[in-house]
Amino acid sequence: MSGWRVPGKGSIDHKSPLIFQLDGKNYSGFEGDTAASALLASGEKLFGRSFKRHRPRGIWGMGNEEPNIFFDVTQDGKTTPNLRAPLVTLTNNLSLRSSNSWPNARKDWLGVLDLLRKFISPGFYYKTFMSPNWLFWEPLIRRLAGIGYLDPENYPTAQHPVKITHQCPLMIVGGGPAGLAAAEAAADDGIPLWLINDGFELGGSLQWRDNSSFDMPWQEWISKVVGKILSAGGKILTNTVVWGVFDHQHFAAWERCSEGPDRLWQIKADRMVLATGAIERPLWFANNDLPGIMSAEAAYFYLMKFGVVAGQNIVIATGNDSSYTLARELVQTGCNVTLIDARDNPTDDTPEAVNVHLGEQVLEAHGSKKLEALRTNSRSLEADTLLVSGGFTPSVHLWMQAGGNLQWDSQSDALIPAKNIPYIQTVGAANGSFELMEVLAEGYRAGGGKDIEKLLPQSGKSGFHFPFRPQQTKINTNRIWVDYFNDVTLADIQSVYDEGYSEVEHLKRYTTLGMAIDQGKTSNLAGIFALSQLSGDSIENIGTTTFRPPYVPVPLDVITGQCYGSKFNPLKRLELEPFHKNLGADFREYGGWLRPAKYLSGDELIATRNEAKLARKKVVVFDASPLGKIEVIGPDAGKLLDYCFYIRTSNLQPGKIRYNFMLSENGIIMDDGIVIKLDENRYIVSASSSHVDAVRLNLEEARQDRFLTSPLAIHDTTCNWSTLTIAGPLAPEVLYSSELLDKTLIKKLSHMSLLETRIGDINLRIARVSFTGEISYEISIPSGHVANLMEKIYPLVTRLGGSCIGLEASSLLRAEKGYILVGKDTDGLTMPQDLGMSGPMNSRKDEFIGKRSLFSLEAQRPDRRQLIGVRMVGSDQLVLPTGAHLIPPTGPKRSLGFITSSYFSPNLNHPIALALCENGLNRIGEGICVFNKDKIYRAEICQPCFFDIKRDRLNV
Amino acid sequence: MYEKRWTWNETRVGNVISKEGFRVKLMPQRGNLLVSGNLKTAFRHLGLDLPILGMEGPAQENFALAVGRNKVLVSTQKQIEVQNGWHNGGFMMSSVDFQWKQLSLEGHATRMVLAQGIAHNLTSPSCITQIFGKTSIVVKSETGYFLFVEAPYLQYYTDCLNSATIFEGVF
Repeated sequence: MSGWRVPGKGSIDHKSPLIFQLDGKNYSGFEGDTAASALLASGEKLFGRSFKRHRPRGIWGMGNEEPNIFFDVTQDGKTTPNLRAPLVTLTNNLSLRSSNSWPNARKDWLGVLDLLRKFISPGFYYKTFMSPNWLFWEPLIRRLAGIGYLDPENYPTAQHPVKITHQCPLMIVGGGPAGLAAAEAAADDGIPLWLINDGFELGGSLQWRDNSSFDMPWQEWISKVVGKILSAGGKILTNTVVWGVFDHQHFAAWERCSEGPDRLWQIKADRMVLATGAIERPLWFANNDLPGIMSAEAAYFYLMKFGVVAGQNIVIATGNDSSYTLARELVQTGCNVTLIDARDNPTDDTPEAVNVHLGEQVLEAHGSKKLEALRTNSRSLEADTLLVSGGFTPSVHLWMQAGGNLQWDSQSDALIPAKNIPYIQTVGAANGSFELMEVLAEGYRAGGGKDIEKLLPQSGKSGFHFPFRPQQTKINTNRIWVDYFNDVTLADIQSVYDEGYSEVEHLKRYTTLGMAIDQGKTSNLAGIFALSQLSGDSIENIGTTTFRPPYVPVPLDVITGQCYGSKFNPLKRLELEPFHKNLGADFREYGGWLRPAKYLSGDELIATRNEAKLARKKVVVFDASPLGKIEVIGPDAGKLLDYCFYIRTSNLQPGKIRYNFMLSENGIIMDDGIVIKLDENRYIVSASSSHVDAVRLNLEEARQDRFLTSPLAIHDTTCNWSTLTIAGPLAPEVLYSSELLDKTLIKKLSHMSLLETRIGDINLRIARVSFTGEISYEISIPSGHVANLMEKIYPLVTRLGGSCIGLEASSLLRAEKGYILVGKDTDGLTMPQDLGMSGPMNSRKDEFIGKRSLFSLEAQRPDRRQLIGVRMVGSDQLVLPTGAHLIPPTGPKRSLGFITSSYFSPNLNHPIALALCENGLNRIGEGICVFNKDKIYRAEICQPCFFDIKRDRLNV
Repeated sequence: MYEKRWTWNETRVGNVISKEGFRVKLMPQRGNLLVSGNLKTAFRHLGLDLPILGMEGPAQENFALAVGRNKVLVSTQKQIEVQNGWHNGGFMMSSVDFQWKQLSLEGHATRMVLAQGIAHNLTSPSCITQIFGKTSIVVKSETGYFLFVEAPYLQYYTDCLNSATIFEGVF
């Protein structure tokens, strides 16, 4: 038994006891406790295990920097993994489970890995598990890997976090003395600033450190500042962590709300003051990872905030004055305190009743599952708790995320901001200033304050002189831990340095130093120190690893906010959705739209084939509303389209339609579709449904790049129109029998032509184009009238034995004809000539996007992959899997290409497939093999058109 | 799957959301017209005296919403018959009456709800912006805001506005 509670001390409610469990064992605490403070008060030391070697771990820190103790926290039946013990607010019946342990941290069977440490040196996973093969080891490794338990029941449900944007002229991050001083100065000037504090309570270190230099209680000063902020129209967010800095001075902050859902603030701030404090460093000595060894500052925090004393027989190892006040406080609680100071001449007075040993350092700690004794360079001591202070590392994460630089400051023995970002000021400990008066003055000036005497209550000394860098004891370096969570030792760093990993980024990745849940808040700088000593290079030259958001782990549901469920991927909805729903359609996402996949009931494959048969034999209706309707208008519209498309369109006659490709600058097909010429100054680009936005942007870019002075407009009217496609041999009958349309005009409409007409005062466009190979009429009508049109058309279709068809049947029908879907039957290398369409590239003299690339060496290669058809040989009725590789029937096996679309054709009664194949167009008629999952099938290459090759059905 | 639990597209004209401090109404279909080029001449041609509004509005009976350089969405109380395409006066028009659905947002919490979807403050001279991740048009009205959303996203916006959280002390 070591840690204990001082009755009445701290800001917890001693009259409200709470019960909670850790690994099934009951513990007690009080209202206002955190899991860390309550466990520390329990007198036990071991609450977790390290990740790699499953070493015993105890509480080290007091906040975000905690590298040791993480819990899976279960509350109200739901588990949240990997929460840091100091940040878990205690509630009744909270259930905690220790990380990295089986069955629990106290008796962890996987602790045997510590005995196997020689086999799990840094980068061992790059060198081992070769025999018999990786797949043999993978299940075991996957079982051991991963941190915490992800509860499948822990769906965000009723209380989704809120994402909300705001802006402010000044954002101050950190509610400690520096931040508050800045806030006071700014509020005095009437600036409506935002003050954001990580903890519940403002005050920072004032809450626990000696603040006798104030001439008023610090709580009073904070109340005064809070009043000024609110009076100036400002806002204070507590229990909120700013975790990311993004472009254009946008900041992300996560507010943890005790009532109601959490909030993700996206704040645009004109100016920012960073008062994020500093993190205490561990010391280096053998077995410095034992439970019972913790940050001296954290012990001070737990004592003053929660009335928890970390031990009974306490040794403080330090190299600065910060620990002297702690020693005085601990002695007053009745502890036996020994202070070991590495300096010969401390600046503070020797505390009464404390054994002080100057000029000494801890060399080694002893104990199995917790600290029992330690040895310095002069003596051995028994101790249940060792509090260490290896100096302080400024928290510069946000500064670095903003693109800041660091410079070495020998006075504070730290890397501090180099002041290269005009809109951010760092103050206080984050700036390497630890003297309270200096901290307050810096903050006040950053907030715009001039008359500093107005702020400072009194001058005084807070005692942070001579920060102490961890010394190289050189004793048993393979027992000196640098990264507690990931078990990286000083010897590991030496080892990887000897292997040639001398850059800090390499060191990080090869050893996993700083890659744990704590993101190296206590270990990164120590790793840099070690590298500096090994290489002899300066710390500034070695530099840091890249600081990236988030500064602390942020739950994904906070980032997602309200974009959950169907709102995560919002789909466009058809105007006729209720009609399709009433017909019993099954809906699915196609290119960002929610569209009917099929209508007929039963098995999808059979239903799809039946719908496809109906289209070939009778007539079907297909909702093609998502097809693009981008209007290009102006005297130079034809020129713009000629420039943007592979085939010229300006030479079309009004009312005519042309199939076309849009190419990227690399000559790659990015979309196919039709272009309609309405009149000399007006065209419609009917991009494929999922490419409308990309095509519009491409057109707009070309307009702004080459036609900026031309009176030319691009109006995307896609969502204004709905389109019904009537297809099939009986399609003309449907239109002829409709009383709405002029039969004579319909009869005159030839393939690839457009008719603009009206029903009453409603505009209508009827395009004779086909994506199925059947006679088709695409009727486009303003969306508000499509339901009425469908009500008139659908009975005519059903009277002729037809019905609606879904996207699956449509896709099958177009594959029978060999019509491509860009992105499915083409890939990121396919050019028009690969589809057998090399005419325009050879005949066009004018410039168009992608032209130059079509004549590059790559584009002229004889072994380019070209679109072909694939047919099974003999009576094999296998539908080839899409993605299966084509391989030569003889010789070495290698991939010649792959299947892009594959179906069983109900109209041909055999399987069909489209594929991209090396030099495919010259292999028509040759045999080919198809390889999939260790099986090889024999097939034949054919023309990529299986149905109505002579197009007789279209030209009726 | 969770993301496939779609709510059906059933939003109809009239009151859509009614909460303490926040009300949403789907307005009857207005006339919408995309006009580019020489706007002054175009407005003369239309015979309308239209203010060109930014996000600050406020919207009146008939107005034009700036959606690009020399490009506006003309919104009129009634649909108007025009000749689509190129006009020799140097402007271009396309009727898009059904492209946009107009939501009226009212109540003291409206600004807070919008802040949960909009990327920046409502001070732009252009009305078009990303709200809840999709391109929409927002303009102040006399009693709140008008939100013009692309018709296929109406249900999505209804879902987003309905699930927005209202809390005190921000705006």
